[in-house]
Amino acid sequence: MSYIEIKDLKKIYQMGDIEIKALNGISTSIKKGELVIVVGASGAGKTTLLNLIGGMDSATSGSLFIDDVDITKYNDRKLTKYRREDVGFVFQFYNLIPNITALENVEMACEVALEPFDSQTVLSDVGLADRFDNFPSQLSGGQQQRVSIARAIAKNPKLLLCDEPTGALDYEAGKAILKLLQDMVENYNMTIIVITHNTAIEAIGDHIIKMKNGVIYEEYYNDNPADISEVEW
Amino acid sequence: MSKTIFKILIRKIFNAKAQFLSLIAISAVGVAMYVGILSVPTSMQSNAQVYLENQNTSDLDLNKVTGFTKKDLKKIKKKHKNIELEKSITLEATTSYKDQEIITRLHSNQEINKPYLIKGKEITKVNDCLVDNENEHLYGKDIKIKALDQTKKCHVVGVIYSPSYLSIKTKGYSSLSTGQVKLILYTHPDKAYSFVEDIPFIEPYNTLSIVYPDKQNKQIFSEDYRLEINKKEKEIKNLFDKDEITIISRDDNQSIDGFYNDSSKIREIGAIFPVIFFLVAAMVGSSTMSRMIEDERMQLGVLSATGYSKAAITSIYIIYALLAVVIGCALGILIGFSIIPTAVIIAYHVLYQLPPPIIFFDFDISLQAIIIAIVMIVGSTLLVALHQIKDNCATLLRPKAPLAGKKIFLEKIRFIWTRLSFINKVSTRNVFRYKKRLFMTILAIMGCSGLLMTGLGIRTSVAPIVDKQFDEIYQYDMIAYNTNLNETEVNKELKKLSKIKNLDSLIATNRQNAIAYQDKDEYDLVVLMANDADKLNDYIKFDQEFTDNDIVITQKLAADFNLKAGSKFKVEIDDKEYTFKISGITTQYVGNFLYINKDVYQEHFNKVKYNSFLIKHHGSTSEITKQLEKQSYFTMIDDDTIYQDTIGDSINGINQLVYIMIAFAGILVIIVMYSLTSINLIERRRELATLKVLGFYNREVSNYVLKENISLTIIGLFIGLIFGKYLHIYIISMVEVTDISFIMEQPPINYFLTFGITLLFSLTVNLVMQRKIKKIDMVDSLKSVE
Repeated sequence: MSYIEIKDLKKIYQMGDIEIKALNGISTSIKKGELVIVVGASGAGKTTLLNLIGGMDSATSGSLFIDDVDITKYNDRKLTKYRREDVGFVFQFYNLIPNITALENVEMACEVALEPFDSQTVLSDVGLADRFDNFPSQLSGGQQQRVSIARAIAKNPKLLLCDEPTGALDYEAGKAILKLLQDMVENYNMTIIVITHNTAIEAIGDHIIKMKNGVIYEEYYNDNPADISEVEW
Repeated sequence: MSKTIFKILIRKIFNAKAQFLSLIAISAVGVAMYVGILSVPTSMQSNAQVYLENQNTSDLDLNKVTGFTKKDLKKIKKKHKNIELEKSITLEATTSYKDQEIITRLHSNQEINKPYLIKGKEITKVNDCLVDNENEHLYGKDIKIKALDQTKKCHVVGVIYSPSYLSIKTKGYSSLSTGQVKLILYTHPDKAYSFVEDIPFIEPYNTLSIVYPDKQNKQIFSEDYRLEINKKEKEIKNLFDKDEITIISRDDNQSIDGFYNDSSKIREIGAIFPVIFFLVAAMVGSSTMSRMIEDERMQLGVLSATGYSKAAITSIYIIYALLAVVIGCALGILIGFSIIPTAVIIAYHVLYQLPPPIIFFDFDISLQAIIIAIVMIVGSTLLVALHQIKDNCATLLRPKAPLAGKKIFLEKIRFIWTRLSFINKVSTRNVFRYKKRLFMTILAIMGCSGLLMTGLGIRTSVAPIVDKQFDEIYQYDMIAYNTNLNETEVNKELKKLSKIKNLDSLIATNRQNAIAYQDKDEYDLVVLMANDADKLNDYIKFDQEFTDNDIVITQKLAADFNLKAGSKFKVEIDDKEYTFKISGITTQYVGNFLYINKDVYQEHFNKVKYNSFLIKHHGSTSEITKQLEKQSYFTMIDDDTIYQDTIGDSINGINQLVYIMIAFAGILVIIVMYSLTSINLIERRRELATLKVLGFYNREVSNYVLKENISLTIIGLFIGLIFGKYLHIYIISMVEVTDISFIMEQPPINYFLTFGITLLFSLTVNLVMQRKIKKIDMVDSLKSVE
């Protein structure tokens, strides 16, 4: 049984007389525990898809079932509850709260979650055991992204959404982050959706969705996904 | 200015509308306060001036009991060639309407001292008459006027203010009857003449009103005017026997003098308010502009890299701020001149009868306000712009590093810190992180609550005085004055008067006016001698019972002369100095008194005499007055309620001023909180969007920002309460007079009200902000750092 079921999902922005079809009828299904890679050039509609799955935006038409419930029917408050309890989010630019420490950034997410993991453990798991009391401005980009991932995971979400998680990082740091994500799927058995324009990353995913002009033009599964260390770009 | 710079400037005004408007608003409020308060004295005086000129008010009024002869008139005209002169009749009379009898002063002026009509029409027929506005109930009625043993009928066709009685509450005492004049009546000259035409040995016209049309100084409130008219007064006085006439110049007119003093005081009292407003305006202006310039570092960098000069780039912001300030000044000048003096004048209407206020514009004050506003707001913009642009363009092109998080002291107390929720942690850190915002918010809230506290305080300082003095302290209902009586005479009187129906009891007293000197101030006081110390306690409430050997003074004297029980107190009575050894002090609010009993009095003055009675009665005051007059001769019978009404009315005026203060306090808080919170929201858009993505409910996100506001509001409030307490004391001490003891203590309700109202203003802003926060788009969180 699939965890996420998307049927003919459309998102159309009306800009004056012009209609912009950001998502022009998307259908797919995602199983629990999959590492999904959504690949496409900018403007392909992948971020819009992520926003809809993450409950940050509402669809124009179609349906989006999470655990058999259609979240396109949700009101504002229910969507917030959904984001709060079911979704973890990793941003391209980390989006840490600048005025609290690394540990407090993780604790902040735990505060609103139902059954959070221990924040110190998770922050240690991402390799920042000695950085608890540092403020974001005292950390490198890669370290900040680790805090961001720890913050997302510590909530113990069912679904982890990552928007270009390596986009702002250099090669080595980017690789390390992807490694971390891959490990997390195994350790915590989460469903992870990663958005990227980097086609090389396809190799590490279980399920690859390729997008162009608001539609899926190719979709396939990797039975034996590669380890990130084997991937070069 | 280059085309590009100009384009950027125009776009900026339209794009940064909110900031532009808030700059306009804050400079408008500052300027309005400044010009408004500082122009009150001139505006009040100009209003009075215009009114008095329009009514052709006399420079001098001459009264002669036996009337002016043709020879008198000739003498005056010969001495002062170019004068406008009107002869008229002034009569002390009684007006009766139904069974009501009103002590009246009748005038027959038409050309000089023209009454100002507020209702009805002018006198056209012989039987027409006009009444002052305190007696509006007579309007349209037929009344009977009794004077010089004749009674004549009149029909009231209009209601007026009289320029001769600027302060109409003090119509003075009637020389005819015992008591105060309650009605000012204007009749047709022929009607007035009909009262006096048949009286032998006197000339009909007993009043001459003189206007000097060619006088050098037309400003009645000026010193030059006073000197010029005083000279004319002396010249006229020399034409007559000294005792023959009385001359009244505007100098002798107490209501004009009082008006001048009252209007001048406002400026002293109010000066502090524009200072607060301008200070806050400067801070809001500078933080708005520095936020804007920081936001546009990139643009500064690009312009700078493209080769625009620093001066050209800076000019964008300077002109932007200057435009807003100039518009704000224009609005502020409009609002300030029209609202504040008008409101004050209306508040003073209960004391001074003037036509609806006219707005007077004062160029000097406007110019000062504009200069201050420009220096403070545009000046601070210039400083911020110069500070930013001094970085080279490469630095400018890089985003400025965000202010690093910092540990604060509270974190050292681990067991508290770890228990704080994440929102509380962030709020606490932020409060200390943005010190400028902290300072501004606190100052604005402090200003607001200080203003409120002062306004409410002024009300509670003044309002209860009347009730306390006249209901709680004075237990008697009436004072009747007669001429000096000795011990036997007074006992006879007491016996006779105590039989009057409805008169409950009375005691005999002696009242003497005395003066005490303290530095430059003269304190008027009354030395009140009782013939029975024990009984006096039933008529006047003392803090400690008044006994035979006591000499008690009222608290205001004790405080200002620094006197305690056992101190010696020197007073002057009829140019002779007396020294009293004080035995006690008692609380009173209006008037200064020294209470002394008969025997002790005799030790000081040798002879005991009596000149007044304190009376308690029930039933109608006028009935008792009538009975008293029937039984004996009194020079004056004083009924307490008159003072009570007068003071009671002025309290309504004060309330209006308090409402204006509350309104301004509210505007101040709203503008400041709104601007600061807006800036805060702009700065933290991404952070808030992130919180939303992470699943924080709208309420939690609002809390995250607004908690800071609330905690700063509360800190500001506590400081403001203290500030307000002292500001109030300062203002009350500015208006202090020598014979009224204001209540300095503020009752707890003032603290609660101040707290509540300020919080309400602050919460209102927060509510608006909550809606803004709700509208923040989560997609913002995905964008790159700008």
